[in-house]
Amino acid sequence: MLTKPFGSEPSDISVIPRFKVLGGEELRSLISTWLDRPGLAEVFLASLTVDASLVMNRQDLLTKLETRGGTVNTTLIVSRMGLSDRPSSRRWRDLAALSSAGVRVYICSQLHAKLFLFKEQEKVCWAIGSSNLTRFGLASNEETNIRGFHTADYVIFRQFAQSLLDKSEPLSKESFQRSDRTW
Amino acid sequence: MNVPVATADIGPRIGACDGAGLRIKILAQLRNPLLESATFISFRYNDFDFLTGKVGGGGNNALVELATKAALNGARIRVITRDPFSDADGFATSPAFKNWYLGIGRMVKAQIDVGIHPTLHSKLYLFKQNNERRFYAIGSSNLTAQGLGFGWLECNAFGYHRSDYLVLDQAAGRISEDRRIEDWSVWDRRCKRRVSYARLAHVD
Repeated sequence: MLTKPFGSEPSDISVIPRFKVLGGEELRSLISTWLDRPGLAEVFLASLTVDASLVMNRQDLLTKLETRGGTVNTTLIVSRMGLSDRPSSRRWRDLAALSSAGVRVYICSQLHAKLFLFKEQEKVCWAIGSSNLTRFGLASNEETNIRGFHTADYVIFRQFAQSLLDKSEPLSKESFQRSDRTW
Repeated sequence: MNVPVATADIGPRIGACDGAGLRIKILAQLRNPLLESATFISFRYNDFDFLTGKVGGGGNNALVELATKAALNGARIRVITRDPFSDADGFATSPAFKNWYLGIGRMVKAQIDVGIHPTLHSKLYLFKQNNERRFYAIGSSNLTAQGLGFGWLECNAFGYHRSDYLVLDQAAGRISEDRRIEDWSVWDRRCKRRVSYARLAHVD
């Protein structure tokens, strides 16, 4: 999939950067802030793996997503690569808990993308880069991410997110059973 | 494309691409005879063929060959990648390590500036041509066959805008000034014994 950027000529005269660069800690702060916003309508998170016990602004990610999962349209895609083959493992249990709380959890076999989208009635926020939703990705590693608030750019990434969703399957009893068979 | 001032910020200025899309763009940049400078900041790299995805086979379309040719053509190229011994993913003890090590050796011989970072996980690519055109890409794709369309599902942002490029160029500058980065020769000397063990473990 390829989407062509607009304004790709060097003569383009707009000089204000369209995004800001964020390290892992700054991305954690951004995600945490957006998950706390009362007007939040839609959340899309794609990450190789998710560390649900990750503390984000005095509350762990799992609790945060559980709290918002019922009222906000929240989608989470994780990679099969980042999951243990044991359905009883913590990562699987976390995903099951999120799914029960209303988060639409998807599994994608070869996912390596890290994409985070937030939408309110009037505002949007997108972030993309190298950070996974883990302690390493949001704290200790040297990571480079960018974030922006421009609707036109958001639309590009929202379309991309849909293409990832099309290649994923919802977390279901079958996901666990398949995992059980491979164990 | 000339965009009036009032509308310059209305449309999208950033593109999204998967690994295969990014591979095509990086290949085009590396082959461009006007290439003035290129920066590759990537957690992992491997010397793979851009057309077939084959790792370690060499050839005209292999990453190291393309980078080496660009450097010999006068482009200033720098590569920053992760120290394989600082990561617990087993890379340093895998057969891929030999390819990694020999590839860097060839790049260094071609005057490519290589730095080894202990905790790097970023994936950032910057290209500048001497006609002032620029290209940047940032996202999840490592500089590997798997990251560039021969394996994993990736998501990257790319663009050509000067001001966006400059923001990322500054970020690349901050990373490259990190005091923890070791020059290749320093790293190679320090890790000589470990490298020997790792290579001996996978003799062809």
